[in-house]
Amino acid sequence: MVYGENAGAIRTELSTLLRQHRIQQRIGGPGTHTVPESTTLEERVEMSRLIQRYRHGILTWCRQAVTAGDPGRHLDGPDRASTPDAALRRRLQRTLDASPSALPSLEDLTTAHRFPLVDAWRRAARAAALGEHDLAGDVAPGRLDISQRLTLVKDAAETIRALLVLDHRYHGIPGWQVLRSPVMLHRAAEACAFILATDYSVDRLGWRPPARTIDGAPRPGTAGVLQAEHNLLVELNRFPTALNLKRVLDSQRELSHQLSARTASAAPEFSARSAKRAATYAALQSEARNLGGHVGAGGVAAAEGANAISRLRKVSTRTHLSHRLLRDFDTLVDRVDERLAEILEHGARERLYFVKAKVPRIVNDGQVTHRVRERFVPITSPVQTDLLRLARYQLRPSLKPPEPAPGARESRLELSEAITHIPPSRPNAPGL
Amino acid sequence: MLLAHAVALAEARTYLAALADQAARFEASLAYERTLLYLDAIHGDNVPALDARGLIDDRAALRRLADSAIEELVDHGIDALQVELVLAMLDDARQLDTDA
Repeated sequence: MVYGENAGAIRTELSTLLRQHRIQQRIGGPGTHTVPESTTLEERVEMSRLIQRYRHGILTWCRQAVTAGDPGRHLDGPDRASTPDAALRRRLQRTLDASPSALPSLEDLTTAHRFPLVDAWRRAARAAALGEHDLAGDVAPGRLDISQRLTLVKDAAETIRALLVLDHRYHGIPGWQVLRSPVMLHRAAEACAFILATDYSVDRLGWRPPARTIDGAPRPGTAGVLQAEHNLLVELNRFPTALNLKRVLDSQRELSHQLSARTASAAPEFSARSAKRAATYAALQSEARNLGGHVGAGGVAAAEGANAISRLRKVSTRTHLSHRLLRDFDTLVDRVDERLAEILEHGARERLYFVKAKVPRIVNDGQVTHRVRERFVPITSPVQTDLLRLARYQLRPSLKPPEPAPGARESRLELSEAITHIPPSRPNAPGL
Repeated sequence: MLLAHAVALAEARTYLAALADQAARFEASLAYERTLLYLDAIHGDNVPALDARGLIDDRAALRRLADSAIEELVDHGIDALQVELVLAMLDDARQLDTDA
């Protein structure tokens, strides 16, 4: 599942609900002579509470959506400039804090309801619960660009607007409790809902099942190299120590160099890219010589890097490397580069990697043997070399943004129209 | 780590890094880098910093200096077999470098 699927499901169900009026009758209540009352007051109160739990689940998703994309959310407070999304986040948090409802239980989300109206709420809440995975995956804080983040905020704002319209419409149901300060929340949501955000590439992002290593005997030929490189990528999910990181850098440098040499005549473009990658890794390796850091693992990743090289060496230089194979290599090495750039930045930010400073002086502590004073300084300090710059601007591949999913624009347009939808007026009663 | 050990290790690392930077062949550069990595590994990555800038560009002299600094590590408690392995790796790298 990706963000677009779950957010789209929420919009579809809310659009359906927004087009439904006479709510009491849709849950078996009184209101018309032609359809008899089919539920008791207690049953309608119970349904009302169930819908409010679903509403709470969708609002929780909205809060996560407006929070997820914002890398500066921790700055929220009285001193922060009141941007529309920060205001919406604050207002929504107050509404959620004041809500007496709880999140829907697993049983609430998985048990179909006999009334289509309640079941539409259930499906929307289920999509919201599933969507929480997306907001912790590719859509996690700091992983979106500004236009993708605006789309996320706008989507959440539209969903809040839809919920407020429904909230107002349902106030006559027994046991219904309207959201706190709906006017203030509506204003905050409107401020974000009319943002111009047309980058729907975020729809392709989301949670994916974690990749697994390809175990078993080494595959013959170049498939074995791909197998080792894939396993290296998977193993890099565990943060490596500085020493193992340097081993991985070393293996990637040689791998790219070898691939470049082998494809110079058959695939010059691939060869040039590989040569450039080898040069980047050479520079990184040189800059990382004074890198230190004992936290982490990465031994298996380093071993897989070595496997990739040793298997490639065994492949005859006359072996033709197909375009499909080269494309697979391109995909894999781009991901490895991105992951290594993330590791370097994470290591610097969290101070897991340090730079060994030069031996500055001897500690004169009155003993016969003197220890050399060593200083370990953060990578971000002024003594640091070009390591982070290389990781940010040369190593990290310039990945193309994913294409928007089909129907992304239409789905959003449908919800917008449903929010402002006015029911057709009743035909005049026939005269006597 | 005592001062003499740290100085010998820092020198060995520095000369190996300089050799890697100045190697005439890609394979030789890789071999020097791997020798440096191995040297760091046998010290558990608790090693002093290096600075390979501004050194002489005579690779033969750098190799002799690296040899000498690595051999000295035996006197500071590093396992003799490990030191022999480092020297063997350096010799292989030298072979690759002089084949150019």
